[in-house]
Parts: sequence; structure tokens; C-alpha cells
Amino acid sequence: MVLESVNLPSTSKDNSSTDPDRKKTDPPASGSDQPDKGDVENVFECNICLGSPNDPVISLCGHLFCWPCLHEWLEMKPVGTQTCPVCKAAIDREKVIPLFGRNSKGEDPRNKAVPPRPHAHRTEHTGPGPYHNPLFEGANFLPFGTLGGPGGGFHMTIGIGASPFHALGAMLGFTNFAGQVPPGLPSQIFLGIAMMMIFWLIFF
Amino acid sequence: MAAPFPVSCARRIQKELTALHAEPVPGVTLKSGPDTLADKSTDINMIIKGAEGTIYNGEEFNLRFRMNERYPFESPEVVFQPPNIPLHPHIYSNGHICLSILGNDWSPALTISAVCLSIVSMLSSCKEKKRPPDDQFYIRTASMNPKATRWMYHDDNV
Repeated sequence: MVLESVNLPSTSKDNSSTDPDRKKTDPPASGSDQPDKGDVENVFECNICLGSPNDPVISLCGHLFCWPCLHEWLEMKPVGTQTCPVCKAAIDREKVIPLFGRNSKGEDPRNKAVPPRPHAHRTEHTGPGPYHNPLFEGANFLPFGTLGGPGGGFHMTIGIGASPFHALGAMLGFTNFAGQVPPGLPSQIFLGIAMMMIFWLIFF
Repeated sequence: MAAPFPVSCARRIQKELTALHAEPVPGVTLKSGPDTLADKSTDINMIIKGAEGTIYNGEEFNLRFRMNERYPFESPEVVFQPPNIPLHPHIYSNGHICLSILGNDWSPALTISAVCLSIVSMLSSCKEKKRPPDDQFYIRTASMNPKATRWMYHDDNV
């Protein structure tokens, strides 16, 4: 089987002159820099230049292009009206997927007249962190627990609701570590402090 | 004279001609085309035969494709060549064709074969031999190049 497929190019060359039907499956190699190996190979041709794709990208509708070819086509149309050359589905540069084979080609940078391909889309896993503590669930702004901790970055959000007050309370020592605000403190004070903090964040 | 052809463009045209040779469109034959990749003239002449059972049965038409160096990002210039220009409601007597894929609806995934097939289908579905209503006005004012015309595609029937 392997021998057969290896021998195919030479046999097809011999047959193409005598048997015209043979050409359908084995087109002559003339006119291209690499020999065509029949329909199986043609599946992976760029839909624009009809050649073997250089910097291959694939649209969400599944059509394969060289990035330089697709880029040139996209540049001709205003954003929002760009369509897939094959099926006319909506397409845009952020929504194509680059394909990486095992051996990336040594590309000639002189031919890189177009910007590089868009980045691949990688999404990090977004589960709870390793140091998740249910006690601090309500606190958006944790003064000690996670700042610079092994969990990673320093996250802070400001929202309207009960949780920022819990956090402020925890910061100012009005609360124990369970995050409970003592009863009787007028909420206007916390609102004032929260406003000051917002101003401080904005202006400094 | 035209600007030198980019290699990618010439290679694509060559590939299309090879494919056309391997899998011809029924009723369409290649009359002449650029011989080598370096050929600057890209006139490709096709012969279109009126299909059997249609009103163009037995007729032969010459169709000329002319690509510019922006091909395939820009559509080819496709015109019927005199003396025999099909009498069709979308074909003007100067050979210009009102066909959306040759204008606004062009896509670089289309090929010479696809355009030929479209034109064959356009001829085959026609029921009445007549010129477009604005033929006389159009041929007086139109440029040599049909791509200079702002086409209105308003009739999907033929």
C-alpha cells in the first residue's frame, strides 16, 4: 500500500499522456512548484491562491486560506461587511483560527508584507483558586488574605450591594473575620467612606 | 502596457487552466490562453456552445477573460467577443454582461470555471432572445471595460 502511493506520481505521469480519464485523479504536475498528489492533497489548498497554504488559517465556517490571501481580501471590505470567499458567511480577522503544523515552515520575512496572523484564542480555566476561602465570599476587597498571596494577582472590584460594606468593615476593624458588620453602625458612614475611596481611586 | 504580473497571480491562473483542462465545464472549451507563467497578456478566450434544448442550441460564442494584476481579489473582465454576441436580456450588444458575480458579488474563491458555468446557466435558463431594455443607451455611453459600469442587479429570473 505504501509502495503504491509512493510510486503514484511516476505512474500517473506515464499514464496521463495515454489515458485522458486518468487526469481527473492525477492532474499533471506542470505549472506548480509542488506536484499535486490527487484530490486528497487538494483538500488542503488555500481557497484563494489554490496553492498549498502559507500561514494557514481557518474560518469559523471551516474554510482554509493562507493568512496573507485572506488578509488581502478582508482589507478590501469594510469591517462588518466581510464575508467568507467560499460560503459568504460573516467573517472577521478576530474570528479566524491559525493552524500550526508540527514543522512550521521557515518563512521568508521579505514576503511578509502583511501583518502577522492573529493570535490563537486560548482561554484559561476559570475555576475557584487554590486558596479559596468560603468565609471571605462576601468580601470583594480583602486587605490581608490574598494580596500578593500564592493565589496570584491582586483582585479588587467595587460594586453596589452588601459586599463592599463587609469589606470596608473588615478593613477598618469593625468586624471579626467572619465578615459580620456589627449592628447599629449607620450605613451612611460606610457610604461616605466608600465614596471617598472611589474618589481616591479615581483621582490619585 | 499592464504592470508585471505577480507570481502568485500567474500561478493561480495557471492552476485554473490546468483544472479547466482536467475537468472541463460542459459546453465550454478553452480557445487560447497565456502560454507561460511570465506571459503579461492574460487574455483567455473561451468558446461557449449553446446547450441542447435551449434557445441557443447550436450557437457558438467567444468569451474573453482579462485578468488584471489584482486577480483573484478583483474580478476578471469578462465580455463576449463580436461578431456573435448572444441575444439575452442581460447581455448588451457590445458584449458586456450584467452578472452580479462579475461585479459586487465577486469572491476570490470563484474561478474561470465557476464564471463559465454561471454564464452557461444564464444562457440556458433564458426563454426569450432579446436585448436589455437600455441597450442602445448603454452601448453609446459605456466604457470598453465592463468593470467601469455601475451595475444594477435587479432581475433574478434569467
